[in-house]
Amino acid sequence: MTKSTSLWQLRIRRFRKDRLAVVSLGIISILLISAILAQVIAPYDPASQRMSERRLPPGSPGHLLGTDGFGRDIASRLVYGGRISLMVGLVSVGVGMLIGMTLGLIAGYFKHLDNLIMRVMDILLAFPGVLIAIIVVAILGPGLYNVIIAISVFSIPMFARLTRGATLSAKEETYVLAARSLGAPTSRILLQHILPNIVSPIIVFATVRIGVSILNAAALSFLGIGAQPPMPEWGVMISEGRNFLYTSPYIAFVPGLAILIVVLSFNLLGDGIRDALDPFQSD
Amino acid sequence: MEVKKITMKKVIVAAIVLLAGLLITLPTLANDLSTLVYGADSDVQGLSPILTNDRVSSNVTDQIYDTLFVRDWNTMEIKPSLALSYENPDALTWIIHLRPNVVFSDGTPFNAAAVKFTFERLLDPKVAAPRASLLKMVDKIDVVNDLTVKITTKYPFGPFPAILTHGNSEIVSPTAVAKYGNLMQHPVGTGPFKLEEWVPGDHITLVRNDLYWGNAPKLKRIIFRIVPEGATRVGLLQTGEIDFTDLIPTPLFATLKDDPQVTAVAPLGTPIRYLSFNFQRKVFQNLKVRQAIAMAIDRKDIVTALDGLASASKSIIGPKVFGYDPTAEAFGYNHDPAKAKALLADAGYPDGFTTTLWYGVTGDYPVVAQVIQEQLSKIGIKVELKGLDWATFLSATRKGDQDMFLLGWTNLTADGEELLYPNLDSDNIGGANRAFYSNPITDRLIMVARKNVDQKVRLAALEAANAALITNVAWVPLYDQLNILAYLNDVHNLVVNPNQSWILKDVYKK
Amino acid sequence: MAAYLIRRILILIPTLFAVTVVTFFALHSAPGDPASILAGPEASAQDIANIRHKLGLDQPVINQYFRYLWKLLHGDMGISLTTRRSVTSMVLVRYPNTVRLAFASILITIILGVGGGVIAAIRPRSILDNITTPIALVGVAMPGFWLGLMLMYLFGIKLRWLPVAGFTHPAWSWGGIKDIIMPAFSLGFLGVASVLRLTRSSMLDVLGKEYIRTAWSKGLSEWRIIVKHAFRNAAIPVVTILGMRMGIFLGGTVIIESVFAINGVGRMVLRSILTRDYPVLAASVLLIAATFAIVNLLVDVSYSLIDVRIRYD
Repeated sequence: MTKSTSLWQLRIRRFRKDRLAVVSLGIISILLISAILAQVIAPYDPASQRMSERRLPPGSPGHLLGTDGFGRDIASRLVYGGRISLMVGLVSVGVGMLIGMTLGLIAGYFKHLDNLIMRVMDILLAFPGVLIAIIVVAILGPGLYNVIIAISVFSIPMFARLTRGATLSAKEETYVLAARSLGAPTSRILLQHILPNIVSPIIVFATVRIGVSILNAAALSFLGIGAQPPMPEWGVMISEGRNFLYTSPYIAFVPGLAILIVVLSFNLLGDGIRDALDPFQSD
Repeated sequence: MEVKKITMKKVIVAAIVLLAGLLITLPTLANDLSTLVYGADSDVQGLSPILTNDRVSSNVTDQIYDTLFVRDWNTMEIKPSLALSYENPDALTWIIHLRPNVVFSDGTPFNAAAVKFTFERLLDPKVAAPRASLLKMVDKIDVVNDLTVKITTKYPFGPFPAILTHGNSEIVSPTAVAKYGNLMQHPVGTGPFKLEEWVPGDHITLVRNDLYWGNAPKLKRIIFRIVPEGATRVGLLQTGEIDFTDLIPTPLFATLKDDPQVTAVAPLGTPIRYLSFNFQRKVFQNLKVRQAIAMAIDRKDIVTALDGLASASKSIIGPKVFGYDPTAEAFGYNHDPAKAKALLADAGYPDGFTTTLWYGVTGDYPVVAQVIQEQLSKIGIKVELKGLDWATFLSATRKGDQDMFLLGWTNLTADGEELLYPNLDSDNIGGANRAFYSNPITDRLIMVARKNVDQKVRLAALEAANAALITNVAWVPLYDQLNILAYLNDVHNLVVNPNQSWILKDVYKK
Repeated sequence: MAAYLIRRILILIPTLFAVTVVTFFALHSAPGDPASILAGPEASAQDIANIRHKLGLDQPVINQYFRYLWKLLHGDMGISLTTRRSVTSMVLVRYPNTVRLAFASILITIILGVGGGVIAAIRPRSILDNITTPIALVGVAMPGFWLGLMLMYLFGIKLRWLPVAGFTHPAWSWGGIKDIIMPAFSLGFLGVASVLRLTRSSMLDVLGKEYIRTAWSKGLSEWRIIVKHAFRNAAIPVVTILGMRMGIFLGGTVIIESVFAINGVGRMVLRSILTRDYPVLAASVLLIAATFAIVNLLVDVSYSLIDVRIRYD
């Protein structure tokens, strides 16, 4: 190993060796691009109905993945739905992470606030996650944005707990003690010394959480309390396809497969990042 | 020493044996010929006809209790049941002669006192019956003798015999009410069946009532098995785990039609589905806007989206309801997007406008809402869909939060008065009149139809009101529902009435 | 140990109290009320007002809550607003079904996860080792409700090997086992991957240890070594994960119960939200949260049983 190899170059090299993680990153990139360019890529308007072309099977001319009960092009809906799933995953994990991390840092660093914050988190953790989301949606009413809020809420305690644990041990590290003894302001200690050193497990966790969030958003839509038709959210598409299970099972099958691939990619990417950041931590 | 290893072969063999064992035996079918199993889409709220007002509950209570009169759905005539006949000596008085020798399933006699008790209980504000308004015209109820009851109304009320066919006016046992407080879990009626067991959320079992006054039912038992998902109920029917079901999603009807072991029918019913407006909103007070919307709707596409299982209609009062006049269809508006656009421009909205469409996320509504959204977008009206759970929908629309809304009405008595008065009379703004529609002319016509006992006059008034409401676009009627019913071929005599109800006393399996 | 247990149980009380507050006020702040559901679309304003009065819904929410809490402290979970049945009786019917589903799912996870992990560990790099991990990974990424629908389509509708839905047979009968296969698999498959990976790595770890090698050299049979020595030591991380899984499974029952029409607490949660049946929702959520807490407690306790080195003081 040459001297010039920095830690990050080493990590990237390690990541590139992990074929599954690279493929996953590729899939996620494709999803990201298709989400941004949905208008260009999708052959049809995802909402436009053609009653004469209902329930065409996959492979029909002009409709690669067939059409649904309104004659809408499934491929186009899938592309637009990818945009929604990606947004739900990124935004809800982002919000959950931001709030959870802040609470975790505070709880880990300030002893007197630790108990209060973590007891509230414990109460949230006393509910199974999906149940919190269902209750939040029950208050706010159905709809995509409320689903994002609901899923953010139930991500918070997990991020808080993870951050707090890492902060507690980082607090005792020599560099933090040194900074403190030099009289550095608390905000600087937290943001410049502690945060950078605890961020990698949080990033790994966040990547995997994106997949979980996408799954939960789809589940809420499936139960009828999440995103609402005609939004081409993948869970909505499965839910609408349920009634066609006997005659046209692909209407429910295709969006489920899409969820599977995307969530799998996020999970494998998370594994890849973890291995690259800390090869000894992996199991 | 040699170590014994588990060979891969052993593992695989074990796995295969286990899997095969799990899969070999087919589901056992409940094929008892004296038991009928119905796949219900929801649990009942309770088994008291006084305290419940939902379709699932009345499906069960209809088998346990009887009304005074019943509607013959072939002739549309009102026929005797617990009552043998009625007299109407003056416009305010109804003398009802009851059937002798009838007892409740608890052995206590059915008589005039029971009728008085039931109706007074329904009207008692302390009981808080959901459909108390059904009898709100009643002034007093007198027991003339054991088998004669005299009911005096506050004003002449034409459809009085019709409301005595309504499930909420089923007669209950006064002794049982005194004993249990209410009949929600302890139903006692005069009907062909009585309760055997109720496991909440799972099933209800009724058993033949041996004290029933009519011909003995052929079935020994009816099981109402609760299976919320339509697709799942279809699966259960196809595998023979249930005998019949209804209210299945339209895409599944074709599947059942193709199944040689299943009979699937879809006769025309009384439920009407419509689009309406919040008349408190300025934009919808403009007749041209409402006409434009009516003309933007293509009922053909809606019917297609519902797999052909709907009967497009432009009349508010449907063909299976008293007050229907085939010529009323002519007052309706045909699909004409070009003219709709012109009308919209005329009304001052050349580029359309943005609005909301509210509906309950249940049954066909989400499908219909999506088709309407698409059709209105073609004349420039951008519709945001507001799909809500039923509880929110019902209270939000009563408060007037909606711009447009999608709803239906199942006419239980098959009298047009029961449709027009609650939904479109200004008396009921804040109640069932979710359009906040107030029109002195139609109010008057509805009043004539209500407060008159001459059926000819009533019919003319209902026809006139219907025509006026259609022309004025109080509602945009969309379609009359077809009542889907599917049953195994060995079930006989099962008939679904236009109001979605069914009576099981003559049903048998062979 | 006893002190630890008591402390854990004491922490439960404020948590469950908070659960009642959250559910009660959450549902009350949702639009719509049970009176509108009970009355139906055709009700007049007067009918609805009468029902609201009778159910006490016209009183301030805070009064309703304290009245509810007072009854709850006396062991009375109240009367359902929609069915007028005692909530306790409604819950008692459904709870066993949910527990049955959750435990069957855990069982699936254990059989596939632990079994697969052990097999993968004793035959590293074999075909079985190479196919178990990818299958398990796919399982984590699959929406359980979708897997349920697809299984239902294949085994219920097309092949007719398993019943389409519902628990209609006694739990310990052959029919009962067939009833639960698809629902438990739809829920349990989700958890297989993490258990499998963990079992595999801790087994590999343990199998390389000195005392296992000693056991081999003593000529003990392979089963004996795996079960008695290696597995016992690899069990701790696995039990932890299973405890965490239980929470996910309890939440997941809400979804899987509605896919397979199982009459459980999860479906009652959904229905009570839709009908605004406040006491029923509070009771069902309370029950799920309490079950979750107790399972976690049992998991903690079981550490010390499996591994005597851990003590709670």
